[in-house]
Amino acid sequence: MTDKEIKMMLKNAYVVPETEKEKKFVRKYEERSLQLSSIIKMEFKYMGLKSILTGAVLVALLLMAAGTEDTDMVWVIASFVPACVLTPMVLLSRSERFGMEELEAASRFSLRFIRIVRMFILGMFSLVLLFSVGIILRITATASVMDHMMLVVFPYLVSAYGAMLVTRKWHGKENIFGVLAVCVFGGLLPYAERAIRLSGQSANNIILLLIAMTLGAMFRESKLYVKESENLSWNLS
Amino acid sequence: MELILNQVTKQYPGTVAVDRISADLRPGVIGLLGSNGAGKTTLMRMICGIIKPTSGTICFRYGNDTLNASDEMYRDALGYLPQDFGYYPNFTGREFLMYMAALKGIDKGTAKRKCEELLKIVSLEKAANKKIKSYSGGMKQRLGIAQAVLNDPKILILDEPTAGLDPKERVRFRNLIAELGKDAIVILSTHIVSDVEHIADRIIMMKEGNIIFDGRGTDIREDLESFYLRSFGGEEDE
Repeated sequence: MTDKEIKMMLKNAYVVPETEKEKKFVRKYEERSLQLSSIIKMEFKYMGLKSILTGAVLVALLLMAAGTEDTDMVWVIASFVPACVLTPMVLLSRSERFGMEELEAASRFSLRFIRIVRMFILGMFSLVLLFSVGIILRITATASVMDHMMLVVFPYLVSAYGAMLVTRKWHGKENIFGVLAVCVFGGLLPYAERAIRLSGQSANNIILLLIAMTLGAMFRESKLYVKESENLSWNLS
Repeated sequence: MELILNQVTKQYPGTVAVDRISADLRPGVIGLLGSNGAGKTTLMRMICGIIKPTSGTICFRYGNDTLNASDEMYRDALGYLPQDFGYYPNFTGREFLMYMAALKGIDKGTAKRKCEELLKIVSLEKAANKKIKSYSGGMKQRLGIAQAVLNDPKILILDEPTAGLDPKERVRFRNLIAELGKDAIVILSTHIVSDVEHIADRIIMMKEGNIIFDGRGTDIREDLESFYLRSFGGEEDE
Protein backbone atom coordinates (compact mmCIF):
# COMPACT_ATOMS: atom_id res chain seq x y z
CA MET A 1 0.00 0.00 0.00
CA THR A 2 1.42 3.40 -0.96
CA ASP A 3 1.59 6.41 1.29
CA LYS A 4 -1.05 8.11 -0.81
CA GLU A 5 -3.45 5.21 -0.34
CA ILE A 6 -2.80 5.20 3.38
CA LYS A 7 -3.56 8.91 3.56
CA MET A 8 -6.76 8.45 1.56
CA MET A 9 -7.94 5.63 3.82
CA LEU A 10 -6.96 7.55 6.87
CA LYS A 11 -9.00 10.52 5.75
CA ASN A 12 -12.03 8.28 5.46
CA ALA A 13 -11.45 6.41 8.70
CA TYR A 14 -10.12 9.11 10.94
CA VAL A 15 -12.66 11.78 11.67
CA VAL A 16 -10.53 14.84 12.27
CA PRO A 17 -11.25 16.32 15.68
CA GLU A 18 -13.08 19.58 15.40
CA THR A 19 -10.59 21.83 17.09
CA GLU A 20 -12.79 24.91 16.92
CA LYS A 21 -16.14 23.22 17.21
CA GLU A 22 -16.20 22.19 20.80
CA LYS A 23 -19.96 21.62 20.81
CA LYS A 24 -19.53 18.81 18.36
CA PHE A 25 -17.10 17.13 20.72
CA VAL A 26 -19.57 17.37 23.58
CA ARG A 27 -22.37 16.03 21.39
CA LYS A 28 -20.22 13.08 20.30
CA TYR A 29 -19.34 12.43 23.93
CA GLU A 30 -22.97 12.39 24.93
CA GLU A 31 -23.87 10.05 22.07
CA ARG A 32 -21.39 7.49 23.30
CA SER A 33 -22.85 5.10 25.77
CA LEU A 34 -21.75 2.14 27.73
CA GLN A 35 -22.00 -1.18 25.92
CA LEU A 36 -22.55 -3.08 29.17
CA SER A 37 -24.02 -6.18 27.54
CA SER A 38 -21.06 -6.41 25.15
CA ILE A 39 -18.57 -6.20 28.01
CA ILE A 40 -20.35 -8.81 30.15
CA LYS A 41 -20.71 -11.12 27.13
CA MET A 42 -17.02 -10.80 26.36
CA GLU A 43 -16.05 -11.37 29.97
CA PHE A 44 -18.15 -14.53 30.16
CA LYS A 45 -16.75 -15.71 26.88
CA TYR A 46 -13.27 -15.22 28.19
CA MET A 47 -13.87 -17.34 31.27
CA GLY A 48 -13.14 -20.09 28.78
CA LEU A 49 -14.82 -23.40 28.09
CA LYS A 50 -12.20 -25.38 30.07
CA SER A 51 -12.66 -23.25 33.14
CA ILE A 52 -16.47 -23.40 32.96
CA LEU A 53 -16.43 -27.18 32.35
CA THR A 54 -14.07 -27.74 35.30
CA GLY A 55 -16.42 -25.77 37.51
CA ALA A 56 -19.44 -27.66 36.14
CA VAL A 57 -17.80 -31.06 36.74
CA LEU A 58 -16.96 -30.11 40.34
CA VAL A 59 -20.49 -28.94 40.97
CA ALA A 60 -21.92 -32.09 39.36
CA LEU A 61 -19.70 -34.26 41.57
CA LEU A 62 -20.86 -32.39 44.63
CA LEU A 63 -24.50 -32.66 43.67
CA MET A 64 -24.14 -36.39 43.01
CA ALA A 65 -22.50 -36.86 46.38
CA ALA A 66 -25.13 -34.76 48.06
CA GLY A 67 -27.71 -37.06 46.53
CA THR A 68 -26.25 -40.08 48.35
CA GLU A 69 -26.87 -40.62 51.99
CA ASP A 70 -23.23 -41.45 52.56
CA THR A 71 -22.25 -38.58 54.81
CA ASP A 72 -18.54 -39.29 54.44
CA MET A 73 -18.87 -38.74 50.71
CA VAL A 74 -20.51 -35.36 51.33
CA TRP A 75 -17.53 -34.32 53.45
CA VAL A 76 -15.10 -35.35 50.74
CA ILE A 77 -16.93 -33.63 47.92
CA ALA A 78 -17.57 -30.52 50.03
CA SER A 79 -13.83 -30.04 50.07
CA PHE A 80 -13.91 -29.56 46.30
CA VAL A 81 -16.35 -26.65 46.39
CA PRO A 82 -13.63 -24.07 47.17
CA ALA A 83 -11.93 -25.05 43.92
CA CYS A 84 -14.96 -23.64 42.07
CA VAL A 85 -13.56 -20.21 43.00
CA LEU A 86 -11.00 -20.72 40.25
CA THR A 87 -13.65 -20.29 37.55
CA PRO A 88 -14.59 -16.65 38.24
CA MET A 89 -11.17 -15.84 39.70
CA VAL A 90 -9.66 -16.33 36.25
CA LEU A 91 -11.51 -13.14 35.31
CA LEU A 92 -10.41 -11.07 38.29
CA SER A 93 -6.72 -11.22 37.47
CA ARG A 94 -7.19 -11.30 33.73
CA SER A 95 -6.03 -7.77 32.89
CA GLU A 96 -2.83 -8.07 34.92
CA ARG A 97 -2.02 -11.57 33.72
CA PHE A 98 -2.18 -10.47 30.10
CA GLY A 99 -0.79 -6.96 30.56
CA MET A 100 -4.00 -5.22 29.44
CA GLU A 101 -4.47 -3.06 32.51
CA GLU A 102 -2.90 0.08 31.03
CA LEU A 103 -5.02 0.00 27.89
CA GLU A 104 -8.18 -0.63 29.88
CA ALA A 105 -7.37 2.03 32.47
CA ALA A 106 -6.92 4.66 29.76
CA SER A 107 -10.27 3.85 28.10
CA ARG A 108 -13.32 5.91 28.77
CA PHE A 109 -15.06 3.21 30.81
CA SER A 110 -11.77 2.38 32.44
CA LEU A 111 -10.36 -0.50 34.45
CA ARG A 112 -12.48 0.51 37.44
CA PHE A 113 -15.65 -0.28 35.51
CA ILE A 114 -14.21 -3.57 34.22
CA ARG A 115 -13.29 -4.59 37.75
CA ILE A 116 -16.80 -3.81 38.99
CA VAL A 117 -18.23 -5.97 36.19
CA ARG A 118 -15.88 -8.80 37.16
CA MET A 119 -16.81 -8.52 40.83
CA PHE A 120 -20.45 -8.66 39.78
CA ILE A 121 -19.81 -11.86 37.80
CA LEU A 122 -17.92 -13.37 40.77
CA GLY A 123 -20.79 -12.47 43.08
CA MET A 124 -23.46 -13.91 40.79
CA PHE A 125 -21.48 -17.09 40.21
CA SER A 126 -20.98 -17.58 43.95
CA LEU A 127 -24.62 -16.93 44.78
CA VAL A 128 -25.89 -19.37 42.15
CA LEU A 129 -23.36 -22.03 43.21
CA LEU A 130 -23.96 -21.77 46.95
CA PHE A 131 -27.73 -21.47 46.62
CA SER A 132 -28.09 -24.46 44.30
CA VAL A 133 -25.79 -26.64 46.41
CA GLY A 134 -27.76 -25.61 49.49
CA ILE A 135 -31.07 -26.57 47.92
CA ILE A 136 -29.79 -29.96 46.74
CA LEU A 137 -28.31 -30.69 50.16
CA ARG A 138 -31.61 -29.86 51.82
CA ILE A 139 -33.70 -31.95 49.44
CA THR A 140 -31.53 -35.01 48.97
CA ALA A 141 -29.17 -35.39 51.87
CA THR A 142 -31.38 -34.05 54.62
CA ALA A 143 -28.54 -31.78 55.58
CA SER A 144 -29.40 -28.88 57.84
CA VAL A 145 -28.86 -25.23 56.93
CA MET A 146 -26.02 -25.21 59.44
CA ASP A 147 -24.36 -28.17 57.70
CA HIS A 148 -24.57 -26.25 54.45
CA MET A 149 -23.05 -23.20 56.07
CA MET A 150 -20.21 -25.16 57.62
CA LEU A 151 -19.44 -27.57 54.81
CA VAL A 152 -19.99 -25.44 51.77
CA VAL A 153 -20.43 -21.74 52.45
CA PHE A 154 -17.62 -21.13 54.92
CA PRO A 155 -14.82 -22.94 53.00
CA TYR A 156 -15.97 -21.33 49.77
CA LEU A 157 -16.01 -17.82 51.24
CA VAL A 158 -12.58 -18.29 52.80
CA SER A 159 -11.23 -19.43 49.42
CA ALA A 160 -12.90 -16.55 47.59
CA TYR A 161 -11.50 -14.02 50.05
CA GLY A 162 -8.01 -15.53 49.92
CA ALA A 163 -8.09 -15.64 46.13
CA MET A 164 -9.18 -11.99 45.97
CA LEU A 165 -6.39 -11.00 48.33
CA VAL A 166 -3.79 -12.91 46.30
CA THR A 167 -5.11 -11.42 43.07
CA ARG A 168 -4.88 -7.88 44.39
CA LYS A 169 -1.49 -8.23 46.02
CA TRP A 170 0.21 -10.38 43.41
CA HIS A 171 -0.13 -9.05 39.89
CA GLY A 172 1.94 -11.45 37.85
CA LYS A 173 0.78 -14.47 35.91
CA GLU A 174 2.07 -16.56 38.79
CA ASN A 175 -0.76 -15.45 41.04
CA ILE A 176 -2.71 -18.47 39.83
CA PHE A 177 -0.44 -20.62 42.04
CA GLY A 178 -1.32 -18.48 45.02
CA VAL A 179 -5.02 -18.86 44.22
CA LEU A 180 -4.57 -22.64 43.90
CA ALA A 181 -2.88 -22.75 47.31
CA VAL A 182 -5.79 -20.82 48.80
CA CYS A 183 -8.26 -23.28 47.21
CA VAL A 184 -6.35 -26.21 48.71
CA PHE A 185 -6.53 -24.52 52.12
CA GLY A 186 -10.27 -23.94 51.64
CA GLY A 187 -10.66 -27.58 50.66
CA LEU A 188 -9.11 -28.68 53.97
CA LEU A 189 -11.52 -26.66 56.07
CA PRO A 190 -14.38 -29.22 55.97
CA TYR A 191 -11.97 -31.77 57.42
CA ALA A 192 -11.02 -29.39 60.20
CA GLU A 193 -14.69 -28.92 60.95
CA ARG A 194 -15.20 -32.67 60.89
CA ALA A 195 -12.39 -33.12 63.40
CA ILE A 196 -14.05 -30.57 65.69
CA ARG A 197 -17.39 -32.39 65.42
CA LEU A 198 -15.84 -35.79 66.05
CA SER A 199 -14.26 -34.43 69.20
CA GLY A 200 -17.79 -33.81 70.38
CA GLN A 201 -17.60 -30.02 70.33
CA SER A 202 -19.84 -27.62 68.46
CA ALA A 203 -18.29 -24.89 66.40
CA ASN A 204 -21.55 -23.58 64.97
CA ASN A 205 -21.47 -20.19 66.63
CA ILE A 206 -17.80 -19.67 65.85
CA ILE A 207 -18.38 -20.63 62.20
CA LEU A 208 -21.26 -18.18 61.88
CA LEU A 209 -19.09 -15.46 63.36
CA LEU A 210 -16.26 -16.37 61.00
CA ILE A 211 -18.63 -16.28 58.02
CA ALA A 212 -19.72 -12.78 58.98
CA MET A 213 -16.10 -11.71 59.39
CA THR A 214 -15.12 -13.25 56.05
CA LEU A 215 -17.98 -11.45 54.32
CA GLY A 216 -16.80 -8.18 55.86
CA ALA A 217 -13.24 -8.84 54.75
CA MET A 218 -14.47 -9.68 51.22
CA PHE A 219 -16.37 -6.43 51.04
CA ARG A 220 -13.27 -4.49 52.08
CA GLU A 221 -11.16 -6.42 49.60
CA SER A 222 -13.63 -5.66 46.77
CA LYS A 223 -13.41 -1.96 47.56
CA LEU A 224 -9.62 -2.01 47.57
CA TYR A 225 -9.55 -4.02 44.35
CA VAL A 226 -11.74 -1.47 42.58
CA LYS A 227 -9.93 1.51 44.12
CA GLU A 228 -6.52 0.21 43.10
CA SER A 229 -7.53 0.56 39.44
CA GLU A 230 -7.51 4.35 39.82
CA ASN A 231 -3.77 4.47 40.35
CA LEU A 232 -1.64 1.75 38.80
CA SER A 233 1.54 2.77 40.59
CA TRP A 234 2.45 -0.85 41.24
CA ASN A 235 2.65 -1.22 37.50
CA LEU A 236 5.79 0.88 37.24
CA SER A 237 8.95 -1.00 36.58
CA MET B 1 -7.25 23.09 22.43
CA GLU B 2 -4.29 22.54 24.71
CA LEU B 3 -2.94 20.07 27.18
CA ILE B 4 -1.46 21.79 30.20
CA LEU B 5 1.10 20.17 32.46
CA ASN B 6 1.68 22.23 35.57
CA GLN B 7 4.58 21.34 37.89
CA VAL B 8 3.88 17.63 37.41
CA THR B 9 5.93 15.47 39.76
CA LYS B 10 6.00 11.77 40.46
CA GLN B 11 8.02 10.61 43.38
CA TYR B 12 8.74 7.10 44.56
CA PRO B 13 10.62 6.09 47.66
CA GLY B 14 14.22 7.03 46.99
CA THR B 15 13.65 8.39 43.50
CA VAL B 16 11.95 11.22 41.62
CA ALA B 17 10.74 9.77 38.33
CA VAL B 18 9.34 13.07 37.04
CA ASP B 19 10.43 16.36 38.57
CA ARG B 20 8.17 19.45 38.35
CA ILE B 21 7.52 19.35 34.62
CA SER B 22 5.46 22.14 33.09
CA ALA B 23 4.44 22.45 29.44
CA ASP B 24 1.58 23.67 27.24
CA LEU B 25 1.00 21.20 24.44
CA ARG B 26 -0.97 22.19 21.36
CA PRO B 27 -2.08 20.22 18.28
CA GLY B 28 0.84 18.77 16.39
CA VAL B 29 3.35 15.99 16.83
CA ILE B 30 5.41 16.36 19.97
CA GLY B 31 8.46 14.12 20.08
CA LEU B 32 9.41 13.13 23.60
CA LEU B 33 13.01 12.01 23.56
CA GLY B 34 15.06 10.56 26.35
CA SER B 35 17.13 7.61 27.35
CA ASN B 36 15.68 4.66 29.21
CA GLY B 37 14.78 5.73 32.73
CA ALA B 38 14.44 9.40 31.82
CA GLY B 39 10.84 9.47 33.05
CA LYS B 40 9.07 9.44 29.67
CA THR B 41 6.82 6.49 30.40
CA THR B 42 5.90 7.80 33.86
CA LEU B 43 4.99 11.15 32.34
CA MET B 44 2.91 9.43 29.63
CA ARG B 45 1.09 7.37 32.24
CA MET B 46 0.28 10.47 34.23
CA ILE B 47 -1.00 12.22 31.10
CA CYS B 48 -3.22 9.20 30.49
CA GLY B 49 -4.55 9.40 34.04
CA ILE B 50 -3.54 5.87 34.94
CA ILE B 51 -1.14 6.95 37.64
CA LYS B 52 -1.64 9.98 39.83
CA PRO B 53 1.04 12.67 40.07
CA THR B 54 2.53 13.17 43.53
CA SER B 55 2.00 16.88 42.93
CA GLY B 56 1.05 19.15 40.06
CA THR B 57 -1.88 19.05 37.66
CA ILE B 58 -2.64 17.82 34.17
CA CYS B 59 -5.62 19.23 32.34
CA PHE B 60 -7.02 19.41 28.85
CA ARG B 61 -8.49 22.75 27.86
CA TYR B 62 -10.85 23.17 24.95
CA GLY B 63 -12.78 26.36 24.46
CA ASN B 64 -13.88 27.53 27.88
CA ASP B 65 -13.93 24.09 29.47
CA THR B 66 -11.15 22.37 31.33
CA LEU B 67 -10.97 18.63 31.92
CA ASN B 68 -8.80 16.93 34.49
CA ALA B 69 -6.85 13.79 33.67
CA SER B 70 -9.11 11.75 35.96
CA ASP B 71 -12.32 12.80 34.17
CA GLU B 72 -14.27 10.33 32.08
CA MET B 73 -14.65 12.95 29.37
CA TYR B 74 -10.88 13.48 29.33
CA ARG B 75 -10.37 9.77 28.71
CA ASP B 76 -12.97 9.97 25.96
CA ALA B 77 -10.64 12.33 24.12
CA LEU B 78 -7.63 10.11 24.71
CA GLY B 79 -5.93 7.46 22.59
CA TYR B 80 -3.09 5.51 24.17
CA LEU B 81 -0.54 3.00 23.00
CA PRO B 82 1.56 1.84 25.96
CA GLN B 83 5.18 0.79 25.64
CA ASP B 84 4.83 -2.79 26.79
CA PHE B 85 1.37 -4.09 26.72
CA GLY B 86 -0.29 -7.42 26.32
CA TYR B 87 -3.38 -8.68 24.60
CA TYR B 88 -5.92 -11.26 25.51
CA PRO B 89 -4.40 -14.00 23.39
CA ASN B 90 -7.66 -15.78 22.67
CA PHE B 91 -9.24 -12.72 21.13
CA THR B 92 -9.03 -12.34 17.38
CA GLY B 93 -7.78 -9.01 16.05
CA ARG B 94 -11.33 -7.97 15.26
CA GLU B 95 -12.69 -9.06 18.65
CA PHE B 96 -9.92 -7.11 20.36
CA LEU B 97 -10.82 -3.93 18.51
CA MET B 98 -14.52 -4.45 19.23
CA TYR B 99 -13.70 -4.96 22.92
CA MET B 100 -11.69 -1.75 23.02
CA ALA B 101 -14.46 0.06 21.12
CA ALA B 102 -16.97 -1.09 23.73
CA LEU B 103 -14.73 0.25 26.50
CA LYS B 104 -14.44 3.51 24.63
CA GLY B 105 -18.22 3.73 24.47
CA ILE B 106 -18.48 3.53 20.69
CA ASP B 107 -21.79 2.09 19.51
CA LYS B 108 -21.75 -1.28 17.79
CA GLY B 109 -22.50 -0.05 14.28
CA THR B 110 -19.85 2.65 14.31
CA ALA B 111 -17.39 0.30 16.02
CA LYS B 112 -17.80 -2.34 13.32
CA ARG B 113 -17.23 0.22 10.58
CA LYS B 114 -14.24 1.77 12.28
CA CYS B 115 -12.69 -1.61 13.02
CA GLU B 116 -12.91 -2.67 9.39
CA GLU B 117 -11.39 0.60 8.20
CA LEU B 118 -8.59 0.55 10.71
CA LEU B 119 -7.80 -3.12 10.08
CA LYS B 120 -7.30 -2.16 6.45
CA ILE B 121 -5.12 0.81 7.31
CA VAL B 122 -2.82 -1.28 9.47
CA SER B 123 -2.89 -4.11 6.89
CA LEU B 124 -4.44 -6.64 9.22
CA GLU B 125 -7.68 -7.29 7.35
CA LYS B 126 -6.56 -10.78 6.31
CA ALA B 127 -5.47 -11.67 9.83
CA ALA B 128 -8.50 -10.06 11.48
CA ASN B 129 -10.11 -13.38 12.37
CA LYS B 130 -6.94 -15.03 13.61
CA LYS B 131 -6.21 -15.19 17.30
CA ILE B 132 -3.78 -12.58 18.53
CA LYS B 133 -1.52 -15.24 20.00
CA SER B 134 -0.63 -16.21 16.43
CA TYR B 135 0.36 -12.62 15.52
CA SER B 136 3.97 -11.50 15.09
CA GLY B 137 5.36 -8.63 17.20
CA GLY B 138 4.86 -6.15 14.35
CA MET B 139 1.26 -7.27 13.81
CA LYS B 140 0.51 -6.81 17.51
CA GLN B 141 2.05 -3.37 17.43
CA ARG B 142 -0.08 -2.40 14.42
CA LEU B 143 -3.18 -3.67 16.20
CA GLY B 144 -2.19 -1.53 19.18
CA ILE B 145 -1.93 1.50 16.92
CA ALA B 146 -5.39 0.75 15.48
CA GLN B 147 -7.01 0.60 18.93
CA ALA B 148 -5.34 3.88 19.90
CA VAL B 149 -7.05 5.82 17.09
CA LEU B 150 -10.37 3.97 17.32
CA ASN B 151 -12.16 6.83 19.08
CA ASP B 152 -10.73 9.69 16.95
CA PRO B 153 -8.66 10.94 19.89
CA LYS B 154 -7.78 14.56 20.45
CA ILE B 155 -4.85 13.56 22.62
CA LEU B 156 -2.88 10.65 21.22
CA ILE B 157 -0.16 9.20 23.43
CA LEU B 158 2.24 6.80 21.78
CA ASP B 159 4.94 5.25 23.92
CA GLU B 160 7.71 3.73 21.79
CA PRO B 161 5.23 3.03 18.98
CA THR B 162 7.75 1.82 16.42
CA ALA B 163 9.18 -0.93 18.63
CA GLY B 164 8.87 -4.21 16.79
CA LEU B 165 8.05 -2.65 13.43
CA ASP B 166 10.25 -3.35 10.42
CA PRO B 167 11.82 -0.35 8.57
CA LYS B 168 9.05 -0.24 5.95
CA GLU B 169 6.31 -0.30 8.57
CA ARG B 170 8.19 2.34 10.51
CA VAL B 171 8.06 4.74 7.55
CA ARG B 172 4.37 4.05 6.99
CA PHE B 173 3.68 4.60 10.63
CA ARG B 174 5.52 7.91 10.66
CA ASN B 175 3.32 9.13 7.79
CA LEU B 176 0.25 8.07 9.69
CA ILE B 177 1.39 9.95 12.81
CA ALA B 178 2.14 13.07 10.80
CA GLU B 179 -1.38 12.96 9.38
CA LEU B 180 -2.97 12.52 12.81
CA GLY B 181 -0.86 15.34 14.24
CA LYS B 182 -2.53 17.90 12.00
CA ASP B 183 -5.54 18.21 14.27
CA ALA B 184 -4.73 16.37 17.47
CA ILE B 185 -2.10 16.59 20.17
CA VAL B 186 0.14 13.63 19.40
CA ILE B 187 2.82 12.85 21.96
CA LEU B 188 5.30 10.36 20.63
CA SER B 189 7.78 9.03 23.11
CA THR B 190 10.90 7.34 21.83
CA HIS B 191 14.62 7.05 22.30
CA ILE B 192 15.12 6.69 18.55
CA VAL B 193 15.85 10.12 17.10
CA SER B 194 14.99 9.20 13.51
CA ASP B 195 11.42 8.38 14.58
CA VAL B 196 10.66 12.00 15.36
CA GLU B 197 13.16 14.23 13.61
CA HIS B 198 11.18 14.57 10.38
CA ILE B 199 7.62 14.63 11.72
CA ALA B 200 7.78 16.31 15.13
CA ASP B 201 6.64 19.93 15.31
CA ARG B 202 8.14 20.17 18.72
CA ILE B 203 10.83 18.21 20.52
CA ILE B 204 10.95 17.71 24.26
CA MET B 205 14.03 16.01 25.68
CA MET B 206 13.97 14.47 29.13
CA LYS B 207 16.79 13.40 31.36
CA GLU B 208 16.48 12.12 34.92
CA GLY B 209 12.90 13.32 35.21
CA ASN B 210 13.58 16.86 33.95
CA ILE B 211 13.08 18.60 30.63
CA ILE B 212 16.49 19.52 29.24
CA PHE B 213 15.26 20.83 25.88
CA ASP B 214 11.88 22.04 24.67
CA GLY B 215 11.60 23.59 21.25
CA ARG B 216 11.37 23.06 17.52
CA GLY B 217 13.78 20.75 15.78
CA THR B 218 14.86 23.72 13.66
CA ASP B 219 15.91 25.57 16.82
CA ILE B 220 18.76 23.16 17.12
CA ARG B 221 21.62 24.32 14.98
CA GLU B 222 23.29 20.99 14.71
CA ASP B 223 21.96 17.64 13.59
CA LEU B 224 19.26 16.43 16.04
CA GLU B 225 20.92 13.08 16.56
CA SER B 226 24.29 14.68 17.40
CA PHE B 227 22.53 17.09 19.76
CA TYR B 228 20.70 14.22 21.39
CA LEU B 229 23.86 12.17 21.80
CA ARG B 230 25.72 15.15 23.20
CA SER B 231 22.89 15.88 25.65
CA PHE B 232 23.00 12.34 26.92
CA GLY B 233 26.76 12.17 27.05
CA GLY B 234 26.94 9.47 24.40
CA GLU B 235 25.03 7.03 26.56
CA GLU B 236 22.62 6.13 23.76
CA ASP B 237 23.43 3.92 20.84
CA GLU B 238 20.56 5.06 18.68
